[in-house]
Amino acid sequence: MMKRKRYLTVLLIGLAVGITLTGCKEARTGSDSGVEDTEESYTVVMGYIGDKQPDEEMIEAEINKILEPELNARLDLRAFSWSGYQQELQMILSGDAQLDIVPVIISHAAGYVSNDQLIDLTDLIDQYGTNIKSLLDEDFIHCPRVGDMIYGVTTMREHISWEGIIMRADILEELGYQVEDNRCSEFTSIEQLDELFARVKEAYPDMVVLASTAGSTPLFRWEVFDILTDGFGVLMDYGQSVEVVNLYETEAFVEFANRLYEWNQKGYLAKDAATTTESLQNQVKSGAAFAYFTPQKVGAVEQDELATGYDLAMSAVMGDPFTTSYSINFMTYGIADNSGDPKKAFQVFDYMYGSSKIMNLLNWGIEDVHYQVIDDEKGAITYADGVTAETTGYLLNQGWQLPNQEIAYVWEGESSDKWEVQREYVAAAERSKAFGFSYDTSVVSLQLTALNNVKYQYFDAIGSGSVNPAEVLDEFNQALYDSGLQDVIDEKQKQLDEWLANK
Amino acid sequence: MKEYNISKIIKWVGFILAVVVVFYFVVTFYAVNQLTDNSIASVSNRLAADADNISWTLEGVHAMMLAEVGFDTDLDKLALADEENLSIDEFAMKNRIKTMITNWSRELSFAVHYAIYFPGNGILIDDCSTNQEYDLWRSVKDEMIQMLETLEFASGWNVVSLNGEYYLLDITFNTNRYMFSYISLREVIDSIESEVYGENYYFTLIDGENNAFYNRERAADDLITVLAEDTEVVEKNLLEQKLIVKYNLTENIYLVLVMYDYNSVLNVFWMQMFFVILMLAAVILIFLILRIINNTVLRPIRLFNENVETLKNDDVYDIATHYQINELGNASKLMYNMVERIKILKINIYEKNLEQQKAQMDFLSLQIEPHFYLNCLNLIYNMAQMEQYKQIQYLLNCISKYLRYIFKNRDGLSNVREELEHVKKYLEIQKIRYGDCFEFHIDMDEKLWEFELPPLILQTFVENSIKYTINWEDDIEIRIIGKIDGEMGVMIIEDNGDGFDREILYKLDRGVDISEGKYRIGIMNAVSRLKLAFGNSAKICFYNREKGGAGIKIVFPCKKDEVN
Repeated sequence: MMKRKRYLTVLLIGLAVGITLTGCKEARTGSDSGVEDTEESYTVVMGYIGDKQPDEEMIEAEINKILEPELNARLDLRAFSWSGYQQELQMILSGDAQLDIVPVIISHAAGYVSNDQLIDLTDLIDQYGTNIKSLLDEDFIHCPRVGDMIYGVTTMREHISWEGIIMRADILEELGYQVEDNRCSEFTSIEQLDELFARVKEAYPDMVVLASTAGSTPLFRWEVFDILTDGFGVLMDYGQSVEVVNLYETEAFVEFANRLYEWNQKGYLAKDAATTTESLQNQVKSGAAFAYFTPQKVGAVEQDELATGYDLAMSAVMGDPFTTSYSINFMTYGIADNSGDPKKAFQVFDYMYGSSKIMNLLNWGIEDVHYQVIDDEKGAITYADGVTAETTGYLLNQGWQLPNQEIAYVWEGESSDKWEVQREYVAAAERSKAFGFSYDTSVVSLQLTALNNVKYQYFDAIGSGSVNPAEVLDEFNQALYDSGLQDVIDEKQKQLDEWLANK
Repeated sequence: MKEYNISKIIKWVGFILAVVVVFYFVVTFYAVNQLTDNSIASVSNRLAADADNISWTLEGVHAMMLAEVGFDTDLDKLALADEENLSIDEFAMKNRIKTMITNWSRELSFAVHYAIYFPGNGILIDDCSTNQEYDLWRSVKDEMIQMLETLEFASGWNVVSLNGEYYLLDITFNTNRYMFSYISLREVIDSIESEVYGENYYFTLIDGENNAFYNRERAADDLITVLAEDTEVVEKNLLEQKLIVKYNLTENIYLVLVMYDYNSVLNVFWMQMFFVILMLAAVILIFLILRIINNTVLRPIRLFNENVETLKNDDVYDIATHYQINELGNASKLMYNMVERIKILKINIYEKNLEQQKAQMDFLSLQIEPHFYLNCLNLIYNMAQMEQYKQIQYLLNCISKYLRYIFKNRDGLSNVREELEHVKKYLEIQKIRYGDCFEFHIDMDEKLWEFELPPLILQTFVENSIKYTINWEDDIEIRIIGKIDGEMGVMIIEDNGDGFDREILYKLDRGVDISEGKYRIGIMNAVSRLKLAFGNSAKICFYNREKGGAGIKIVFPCKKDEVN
């Protein structure tokens, strides 16, 4: 800028004044050729949790080309960041700003409902939920409820809890374990890992054997119970028990916590296991770590192989897949009470469950702009020519959060039959006794806030084996009870009993 | 049309141009100087601001680390903690510190990283939050811890190499903990990259021993004497267009900017110089071309013009063969040929004219009516009948002389004496014919004798007088008077007859042709012949005398004298 100014000054003094003037003629660009419908079409604002993509408007325009003739509606995407969605959503729902389709995370559902911020979807699903009804199990549709009210509709994703361990296949093989088809069937329980970890530590003394990260410690991944929305009072035995108990006093928990402490003492976990924010995959990628607990989603190994650059193998060390309300309700979409046209909003939402075009647009962008199909048969795609992860204008890659990722393309390297396999898993999964039950948290919301604070203080420390459970567990439980844990357990038990009685 | 003197214009234009060029150079030099100073000042100020900014940041970071971590007595508990067996409080404290330094690392325009190390129990707290930061941390932490064993440098910022990359590193120790603050040099320099410095520039950092830590290869050549200079602007090379400016970041670390083409103004100046010189060259070229055109075209054309001009005045054309331009030379030759041909044509025409005049004269001479001869023959016949032989002899003598004179082959004019002799012969013939019916008197100044007149003029008028006056009744007197009036000869023929008809006289006065068919041809012939012989210098005047009778007065120049 300065440079140009200097040029200009001298040019004015000098002879070639005219040269500078050539740039002044500014062509008027842009035309008013946008198609304006004479009929007013309703613009449905749909929220999602994730980063806003640079080319979002292009995607919306493409989607509207489909929605306008079909439903006389337009779609406007609204991104909420993971770090701030809670406040942002609350502000929008309690204010005047338009948001029709609301992403609902399980822990906030009761709050939204008790504040009358979401509408009951029962009738809308009945009347307009053609795709939803054909795709989702009836139980799944009725699962996201507070009281009798259906507040949301879950997305097509793995509706199961099934944690496992992913390990470096090269090291496993080096130590003489069999790896086949990305699976190592030699380990079926956590106890068996003791020996493996010991051998890995022996062979690689500098290596972290079990990776952990803040908020995703090994304990966080230890899902062998029905969490009942928040984990304060759970149903043990994969939800087969109907007695609501304090997880942190159960034998299984104490045993696992002690094991984590033992592993930590033996150096299997990193010293900053509880505080690091480095992703589990990156720890393996950097060569620092050997394994991590992770959900056994279909395609998880393939995805993580891309992320880590190592051959990986998975073992199911935490039992068989099971289904709880949490699996269904963790994330759903509801319709805002202040929506200008709830019916239209729901129609658009339901339409998306059946539109592979919209699903592809939402998750992957525009064909040959953001992605290109490399295998028509498998429906596999990769970046469009000249586009990379760094330069792409659109790659949401949040399929689980979208209405129906199963009808969209899969990324290069993912198996094309993953959705079928997943459906099999979901179908085969054992259901918690409380499946379909979700308790009304609003009556104990104060206790929950206090409990969450306590949990935050202890959970990652214990979950990473950083502290000795023998010393801190009593303290932890005492703090929980002091914060009203018993109230929550009692309330849950009461509501569950009622629900079971009415079932 | 206004005339332009090209060479004068050229001189003026040249003069004005010289003034303009001088003025231009003065202004440009002034402007370039000003702008160069400004641009160096602006670059230098900007760099100073950047350096100060970094400097303050470094000081601030050091101070903050010391205040918030170094003097935090709570952390003494962590120093005593067993890392393998942390209490929840210790764990929370570790977490708190990590969160704190993680937040710090986000606060500045370039990423300053922090770490805290307790040598007593090996607790190491980093500030990482992203995968990339962990990758970086993993690559440098061991080296940093090792550095503590051989810690040579004093507390404060130093440039160190960690895992192949240079960092500004500050290690501070307080009671039981080391505090690391480190910044990638690349980040620091990226944060101050700016288009203010143009396109061709680079930064480097050097220490007290002139060691460069960034852009080492380029800096090796450029920075040899940087530290020797005290000033901020270390080097200012107009020719190479290189500017080196340095600023202290800390006590012994300098931020150095090496900027090429720093004076973009100068480029413009050179460019303009080029154009000005080009323009001057063009002007000189035009001048030369004009000169050549002047020499080869304009001057010859002028010469040509002058030649044509002399042709107009003097009827002379100089072919001027030195014309350099073929066309002009050819034109001149053509002109010359043309002029020559015109001359010949003129002579031809003149000669033809003369011939024509002569022919006319001859013709006119022959206009004399044959009536007279028939009358003479009749007269002779009658005289013969009356046997007047003496008179017949005389008459025949007269007639023969008369005819001889008429048929005399003559060129041009005849003198008055001959003419008079001839008229006398005629009158005598007529006297014989008419007897005493008329008298004639000749009163001739002898000086007039040698004057010349077109032949037979006198006879024409005398003949006319006799023809119109003699009526056998009245006594007719015809007088012929010749005298000299100054240079001119005057001849008067008068009679005492009826005089001219008024209408005739009116016409004659105005030179209107009075001839009708064969009649009155004689007078008109005489008039035109006089005109042919003398042009306007001769005059003829017809009048009626007061006492009655016609008069004719001829005034004519002495042709003979002129010839002589």
